[in-house]
Amino acid sequence: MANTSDKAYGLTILSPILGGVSADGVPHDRAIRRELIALGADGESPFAQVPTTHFARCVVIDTLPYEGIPAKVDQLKNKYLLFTSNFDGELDDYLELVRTRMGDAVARIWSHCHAFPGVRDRAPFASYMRRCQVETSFFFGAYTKHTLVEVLRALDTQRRMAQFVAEQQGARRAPAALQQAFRELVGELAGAALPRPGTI
Amino acid sequence: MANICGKAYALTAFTRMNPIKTHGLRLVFALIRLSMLPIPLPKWSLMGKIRQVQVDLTELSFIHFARWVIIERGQFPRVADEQEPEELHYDYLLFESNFNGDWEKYIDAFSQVVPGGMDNIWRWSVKYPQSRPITPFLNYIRNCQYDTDYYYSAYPGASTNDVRGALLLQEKLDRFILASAALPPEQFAAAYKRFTVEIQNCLSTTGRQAYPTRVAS
Amino acid sequence: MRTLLLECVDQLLTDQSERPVTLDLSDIQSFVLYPVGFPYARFSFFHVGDSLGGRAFVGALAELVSNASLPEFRDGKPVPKPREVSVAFTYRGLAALGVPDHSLHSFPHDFTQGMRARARELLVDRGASDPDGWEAVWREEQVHVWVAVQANDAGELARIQAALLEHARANGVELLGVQESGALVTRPGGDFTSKEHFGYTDGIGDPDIAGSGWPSIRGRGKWDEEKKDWVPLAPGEFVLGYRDEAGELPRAPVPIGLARNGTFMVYRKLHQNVAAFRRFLANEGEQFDGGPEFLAAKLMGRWRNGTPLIAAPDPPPVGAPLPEVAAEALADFRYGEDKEGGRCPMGAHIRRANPRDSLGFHGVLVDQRRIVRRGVPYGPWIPEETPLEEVERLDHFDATEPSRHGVIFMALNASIERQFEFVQREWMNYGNDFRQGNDRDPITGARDGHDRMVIQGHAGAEVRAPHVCRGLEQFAVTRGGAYFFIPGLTALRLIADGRLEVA
Repeated sequence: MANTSDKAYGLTILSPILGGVSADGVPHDRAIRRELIALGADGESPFAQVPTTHFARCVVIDTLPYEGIPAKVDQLKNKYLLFTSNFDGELDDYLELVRTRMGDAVARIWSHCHAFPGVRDRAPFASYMRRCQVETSFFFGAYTKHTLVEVLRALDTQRRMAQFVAEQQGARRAPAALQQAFRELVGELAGAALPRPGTI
Repeated sequence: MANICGKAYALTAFTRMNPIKTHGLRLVFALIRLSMLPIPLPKWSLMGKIRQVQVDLTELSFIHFARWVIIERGQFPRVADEQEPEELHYDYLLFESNFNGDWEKYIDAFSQVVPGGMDNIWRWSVKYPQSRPITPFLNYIRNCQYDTDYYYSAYPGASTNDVRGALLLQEKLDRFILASAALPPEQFAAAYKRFTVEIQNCLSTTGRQAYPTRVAS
Repeated sequence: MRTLLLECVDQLLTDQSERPVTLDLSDIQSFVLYPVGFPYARFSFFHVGDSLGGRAFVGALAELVSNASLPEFRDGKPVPKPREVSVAFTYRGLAALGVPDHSLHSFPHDFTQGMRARARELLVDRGASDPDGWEAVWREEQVHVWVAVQANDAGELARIQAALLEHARANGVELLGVQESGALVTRPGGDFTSKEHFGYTDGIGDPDIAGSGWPSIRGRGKWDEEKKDWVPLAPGEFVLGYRDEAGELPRAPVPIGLARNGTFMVYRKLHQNVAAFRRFLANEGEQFDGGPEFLAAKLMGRWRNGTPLIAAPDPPPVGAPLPEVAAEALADFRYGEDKEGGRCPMGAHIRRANPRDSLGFHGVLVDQRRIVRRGVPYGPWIPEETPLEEVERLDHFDATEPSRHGVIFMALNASIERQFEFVQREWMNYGNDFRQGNDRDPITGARDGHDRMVIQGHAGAEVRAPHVCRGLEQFAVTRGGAYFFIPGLTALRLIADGRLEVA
């Protein structure tokens, strides 16, 4: 199994896109691209609703590369939607989060793919995604021992701490006042809300 | 086209392999996985060198996450009867990377720091030019790269270094809070001073900025 | 089988069997390789109206231009050249001189686009440095030809300049402007110095180039981990037509005769806000353990006399002179023992401009980012005791009143994008590679709201806390500039004779 590294999972999905045109006369691959462009960015992204996703991407694979003779041209019979995600934890849990937290977006995008069962029921959705999954051969992450929640927390702490050190510096700062200020900072950190994914 | 999200760049590339050569690549990945087992390996040994590539990748600190995926020619998912089966000559190697900033700088660093490691992974691909000299390598990647249609990062304002710095700071801070809780003010101040030295390279300004990124050519 | 055999034969002649390279010194302009500064320098900017006159002008210049042949050496020291004349062209200049389209389009896009178009986005020239506010000669991109006359005495300079202007007049080439500059004299009646307006000794770190003929100076080349020693950089990093650090020929225009022995120059006029800098040193220096002079050293990475902090990390006792090291040791250091920046801050100017081994991997990430720097101050030195209000008045410039003091920054490199622009963007105006987040260079960084620098401290018997500088100001302001091509001498003749037609 090379899909995982510590707490992180590298999911690779390749979903065949329908041939022909969609209901409004647009080819399905272009319809997918249109859906993807319309998705919100950063904190407005549907992925921000799935609080274990570090990075995710969608790419429409419409052709295959060619390097020149004597190599042969490979012609695809179908176009594919490549979806990859780098997330925390187990695949089943993740797919369920995707289905329940960003089901609308997923349904809009994948409705242009072959045999997509929709997002209403857990089992068919998970089984479809697994059929489209390709095993990762080698997965690398720089900080896979940490979950997204930990990363977001740390990024927020870093800002507050950097600010604090700058404000409290100098030999003339009275130790008791410094200690008091630090205690206040610790209280503030404990009460701070976790930054929303996509916003920091 | 959305290859960039904040400080992160999404690289997606497919290269092609003669199916006979794919076995070679599988062996390379098997060795890489073996080298990750927690056993001592001499640096000069083959396995030690393979492990070193990963150490170097981590130290380069450009990459949040990256992966290689072998997709055999018969492995393109077929999920419906009405979906035409593919008839391909080659197997495929997908490479995806989530890295910081500048495209050319990233490829260049690969070529400078881990040329052997990169060559071992891609030498099985059609017309792979080797990672040095750099220009043919850059052209090769450009030729097999796909533009990302949608890209999401949960922390667009953070580079790999920013994340690692923040995680380090958090770890040191958690420890310092516990260790300093009962100290009288004078001792606290001295301990705090030592603590700030420990986190001194995690104190810079972070977050999204109008960073001058070039769009990949 | 046959291919395999041929490959084996090829293997016999690889990298390892390479012999030392020599540059064609008599065909390269002196400016590119001559590392010694001149006390007097004057830059003239010309506009070419018609290509015939322009080419005749270039033909006359070709006779004046100095080549890079080595000067005489006495007791191991070079006898200074009496003068140096140098010529360079903008992309528009080459077009105006009738260089064929085929050739023009083969230049790299950084050069063809030019500095002004790339300034805001890639060089972070914003706010006070915005190109819309540049001096007219640069804002309007009328400069075609750049001629530098440098000399050891003012009379010699005036004589050559007169000849130059006569050639321009005779050929109908318009003089757009002149930039006076030269070494600073910091004491009445004193000698020329190598100081710049903030008081730092400048011009220490020029790269050591293989094949230049100049004796190597330790610390100026690149670190060779196998030899455990400094070795010169491949010439293709600085001169077109030779192998570079990536093991290939640098990207160059066609025909090769136009490119060979040429290089690209970045010319920038940078105003220096002396009052702002002195005020910052005084105010922040009061908060900084070690005082203003130590703070000045921490910003630069060198004491103001040039001594590197890596060699002399501690402030001298009060009233004692600044620490000194031997001249040949000024560049001979690495950051391997100072990974956390306790001696030389991670974000100090010289550590950003040339990080040496700071980025790990024995410095290989730096070898293709080096530039040859030819900086010359303009305007008179402002004595330290001058009241700040008076310095402020001298600092003032606007659309009608030109900047009175600053530096003419010139960088030479084979690729403007890969070398100068990269350093400017990734290292001067971003801190990620040094684990300094978004923080920028304290001295030349574009502020744009980025006013912080962390000065690292150290653990040990006597703990020194880190110090966060806030309120860094825009100390250097871009007043203009352009990208130039500096052709070799043969190429200069080809341009003059209009013989660049290629099949």
